[in-house]
Amino acid sequence: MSQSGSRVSVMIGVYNGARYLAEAIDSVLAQTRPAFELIVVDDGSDDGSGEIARGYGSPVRCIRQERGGMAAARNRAVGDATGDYFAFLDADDRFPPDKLECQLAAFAADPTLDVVYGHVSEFLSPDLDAGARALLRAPRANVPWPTPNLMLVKRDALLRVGGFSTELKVGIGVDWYARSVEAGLKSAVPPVVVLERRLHAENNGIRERAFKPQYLHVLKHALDRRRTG
Amino acid sequence: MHETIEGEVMVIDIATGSYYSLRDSGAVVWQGVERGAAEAEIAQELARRYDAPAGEISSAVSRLLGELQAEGLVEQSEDAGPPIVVDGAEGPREPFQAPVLEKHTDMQDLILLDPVHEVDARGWPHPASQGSELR
Repeated sequence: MSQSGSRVSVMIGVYNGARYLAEAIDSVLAQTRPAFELIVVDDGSDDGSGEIARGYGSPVRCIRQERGGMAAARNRAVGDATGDYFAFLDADDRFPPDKLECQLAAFAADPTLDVVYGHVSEFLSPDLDAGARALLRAPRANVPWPTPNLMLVKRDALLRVGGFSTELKVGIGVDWYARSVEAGLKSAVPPVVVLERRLHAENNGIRERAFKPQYLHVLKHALDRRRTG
Repeated sequence: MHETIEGEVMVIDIATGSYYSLRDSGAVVWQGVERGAAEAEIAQELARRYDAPAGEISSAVSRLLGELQAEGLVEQSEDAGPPIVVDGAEGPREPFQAPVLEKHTDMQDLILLDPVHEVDARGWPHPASQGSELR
């Protein structure tokens, strides 16, 4: 079966994510439907993340840049990617082995789709101690999550929506999703788990405080665009 | 969680993933609730700002407060809160449009799964608190 026209570029942005990065990369390399390329953007790490990525060789390649944030790292990878479909993976998450296979099958079933999302299952990071675990909420299993963190998107569709906002610290995914809806992207959310999301952050409290105003701003701006559009 | 942005009150219900918007007279009602004002005072505030019969304003306020309660965004409390001193000066009043509570459910799945990964002071995704060891 010819693979031309359905090459997948997977992109990982990492900043000081050495603890879980290899697991993330391994999950991409274990795909039943292989990725054409795996681009890791090392966003100025000083914990060896770059070395880990560079240790793999083709189809993994590592781009190093000065610290710019997650959105900048993803945009950098997009600029370097040559696949027909793009997928993103956070450096502490994992793809189930059939992620690319399932999402490509969704495209094959409906070639008019621009982007395919799916379901996510969360897991508590096994290396956490009981104290850290107690601070986390219960993991959700097999729930829909229409977000760039697990999408497979056609290259042209992503370019039409535009890159990720480098002005935001939170709500980057929500902002991109809102713009993708405004751009008229046709999407599907097949009921298949296409991302294993790790829960490990013990500074959720910090995130809560920082998260509120900007998140609300993202939603407000989406409403404003909808009203004038 | 909620915030007033450019005069529009944005509210997110983290539990349901719904988000809401209140503009104009609705925003004024919300701000009254934030201050702990009683329903009558909120209606009074609106009557100062908007040109409409008192009965129309008070029933609109009543209806909106009922909606906000039904959505679980506000609660009725027993205390009326500190009395608001309304100064007598009245500027020109704007035409009254009944307050509307806009409810949006198009982002439910995203909001319900709060973005654990997106902000970090130390590094993203950041290593567990015990320090980052190379694997």
